[in-house]
Amino acid sequence: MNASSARIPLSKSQKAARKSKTISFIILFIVCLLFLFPFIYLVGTSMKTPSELVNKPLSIFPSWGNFTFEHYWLFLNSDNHGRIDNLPIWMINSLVITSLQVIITLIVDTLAAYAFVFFKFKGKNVIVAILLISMTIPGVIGTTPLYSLYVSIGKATGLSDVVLFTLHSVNNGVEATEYIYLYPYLWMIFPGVSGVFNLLLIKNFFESIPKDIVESARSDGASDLTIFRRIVLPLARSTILLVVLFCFVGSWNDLLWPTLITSGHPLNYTINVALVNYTGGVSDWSAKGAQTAAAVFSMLPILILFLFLQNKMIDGLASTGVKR
Amino acid sequence: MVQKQQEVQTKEQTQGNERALSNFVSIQNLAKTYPNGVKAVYDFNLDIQKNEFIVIVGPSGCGKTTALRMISGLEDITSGEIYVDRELVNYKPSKDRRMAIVFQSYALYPQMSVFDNIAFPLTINAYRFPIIEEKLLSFIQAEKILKEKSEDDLLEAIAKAKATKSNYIEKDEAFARIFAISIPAADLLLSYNLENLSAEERKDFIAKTINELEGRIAEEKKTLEAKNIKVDEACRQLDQDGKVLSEMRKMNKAEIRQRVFQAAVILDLGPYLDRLPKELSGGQMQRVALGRAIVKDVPLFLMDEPLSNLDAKLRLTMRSEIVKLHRKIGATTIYVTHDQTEAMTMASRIVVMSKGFVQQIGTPEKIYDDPDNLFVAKFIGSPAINLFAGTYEKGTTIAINEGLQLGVPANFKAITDAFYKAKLTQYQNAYDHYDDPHSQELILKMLSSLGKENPIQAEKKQKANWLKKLFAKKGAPALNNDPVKTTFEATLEALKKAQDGPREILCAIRPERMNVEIVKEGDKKKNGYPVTPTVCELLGNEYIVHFDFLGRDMTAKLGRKSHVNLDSKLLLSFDKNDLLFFDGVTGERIRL
Repeated sequence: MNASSARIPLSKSQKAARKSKTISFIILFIVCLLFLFPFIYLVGTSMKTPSELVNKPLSIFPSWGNFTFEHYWLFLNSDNHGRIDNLPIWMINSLVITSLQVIITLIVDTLAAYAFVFFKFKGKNVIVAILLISMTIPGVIGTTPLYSLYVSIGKATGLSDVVLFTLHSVNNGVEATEYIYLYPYLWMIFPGVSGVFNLLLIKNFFESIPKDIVESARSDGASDLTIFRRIVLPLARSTILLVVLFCFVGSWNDLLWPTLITSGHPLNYTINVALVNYTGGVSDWSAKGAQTAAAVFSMLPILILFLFLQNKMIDGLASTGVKR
Repeated sequence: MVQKQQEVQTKEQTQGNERALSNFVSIQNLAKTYPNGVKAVYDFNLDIQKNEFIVIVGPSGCGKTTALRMISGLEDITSGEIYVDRELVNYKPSKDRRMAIVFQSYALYPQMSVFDNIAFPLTINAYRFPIIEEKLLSFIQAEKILKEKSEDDLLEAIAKAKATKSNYIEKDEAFARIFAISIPAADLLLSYNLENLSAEERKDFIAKTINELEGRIAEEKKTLEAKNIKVDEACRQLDQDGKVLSEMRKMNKAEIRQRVFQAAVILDLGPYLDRLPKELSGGQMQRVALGRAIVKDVPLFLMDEPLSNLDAKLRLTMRSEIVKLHRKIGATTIYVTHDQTEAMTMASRIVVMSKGFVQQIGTPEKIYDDPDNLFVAKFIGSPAINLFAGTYEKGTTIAINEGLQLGVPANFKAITDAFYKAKLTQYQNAYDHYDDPHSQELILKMLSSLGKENPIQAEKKQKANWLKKLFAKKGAPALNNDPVKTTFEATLEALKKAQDGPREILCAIRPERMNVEIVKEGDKKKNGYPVTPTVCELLGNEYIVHFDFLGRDMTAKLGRKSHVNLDSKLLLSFDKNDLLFFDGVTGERIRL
């Protein structure tokens, strides 16, 4: 061993730093485990064989050699497993509703935030204050009036009868026709668009953009739309990704409203509604395999989205190009 | 009365029009009041000739940036007019004013590369171009090149163009640049693939092609004639009278590149075009900001403290670079700074501002040697001008201290008499028309030139504290209802006193004009006031010596060879002609 590779004794401050680092790592690890435990248990249970599901319901993972993907396989290709065979349709429902909601939210919120920050108009602060106050009212309160609106508008306009797709199926020799309606889609997308929280988040970020940059672009001849598209939006990328994530998760996990709206239209279910309907009545442990597999399946989009977005959100705004 | 006012107004108007016509930029009676009632700029008047470098200088909060922002169109104008190139621009948006702004913070777009930053203004605006018949032009140019250039030249250029490796230049563009031809012409020439032919084939091919091109040119000309389109020899479309027709269009990528490269060459930014602003140093960022101004090709540059964020050494280099740039490009420049050194070194004319008022406008020499009032004298010059108060009654001396007399010219009495008489009439007149806002501005300007606070603002601060006062033990002092009027009355009173009795005169002298001699033992006794240095600062080639003179800290400059130190004994004397006199009441200069 030569001298250079010999261990240099750590100084006191280095020791302290290492110690605090270790402690914080341990605490973070424990907290992380606590949060992740249900998910790990869920994934583990979804891979157990039916016999193990009954015999060892409390073990986290299936015992060695007993891994199985049959529960996943079942709902992806079976037509003999009851209600779960519409899962791909429900998944598509959820994806369409959520992504439309995210896109519309982004368009509305970024434009509104731009107007709030970069335009001068009377009553601006009042409107912001009203928006802030509206955040204190729980969203559930609006459910009943919204639902009655849903019903009466649907009846008055006849929109509630518009069929988007018709599905013919033959089940056990019985022919059945099922419908996917347009009207519930609209009502699942639009009331959820543009949360005030997202708007304020974006507005706050826009306010942190140095005014000089915007003024400079304006004197260069850029119109507001150009400034918005070429200067402000690219700068706000990380905030926008954050909003995408919030909005996506919020919309994906929404349960109460879609349950109300889609009752009676099983093909209009979102994945969450379908899951509740499926898991609700069954208490038999042997059915838990399919339930957990479906739950894992329903979480996949969020997981994928998060994997893609997390790096981009962290890199954020390293430099604003303005010396302050 | 009304008629008279109208007369005055029309007279002012015609004068204003004349000013607008005879100057490139004419700023008339510009004023700014913010919505919260704070008045930032009063009655700003400035005429600028083409190619001038105007520096607006003043302490922070004096309204210089507000004035610049009003000129640039970023701030609304409360009153007054701005003419640029004989055109009223008050109501024009910033982008239509044909000026470029450089901000203190550089305001680069962080997500764009240096190239994109500089190109940004070019990508959004439409510019006027002559309408060119591209097809005809490309035939003519290609034929010309084939006829005039030797084969070797052609092959060399083709090889060079094909070897071009750049994110910004395509092969055809590189080729077009070598021969200074249009890009379609370059495309045409490159499409012949001359380099793949043997020498003999090539000769035949070129001869054949020239023939073919001639045919096509004639054909194209015929088509144009049939369409009734006239063109000149550069293939620009002409109207019936033979004038070149033009159109507004956006620049194409090649034109943008050309402009950006030109700016990059001027500013030495070539190697950095691919970088992001965050990868640049402060000086480079500032150069990019300048580049963005240059590509806009506008006649007026506005710079808002562009060097304040740089370190001291870089500031010096950038200072000279901006001056050089100004000489090279010749754009009229209005430059705002709080640094009097920058103002002195860069300006062709300086505008000194304080508390929203223009204190003096003039060349650097004039501002330095011949300041209009106390504020200008104190603000310009480093180290600052030396000041001391004296009392003048009559005769040829000012009493500075008991026993100490300062000699003044024989006609000082007559001069000061005339000065105070004029001032008293002016102030009395203004006081008689107190309701006219101009009269009140007179007193505010006087306060600003003395460096005192605006009494209205002071009053506001006091009012803001009323709650505190309410709960204070002693009763709040009575609020002054009209602080301006009170100040006005006090000033008038003081002026009257000064006219009749002893006058308070402030004497000022630049540090380098002080006669300071070091007294050595055994020297003959000379005239002068003995002082001892308190601080001696060596600045390399000279000393700045601080000493105490009648209770005031004063500075003088001494040569390197004087070897002055704290033990030196100094004799101080003034040359009469180097002294500047200011009135103690209004702070205005008493010119001899």
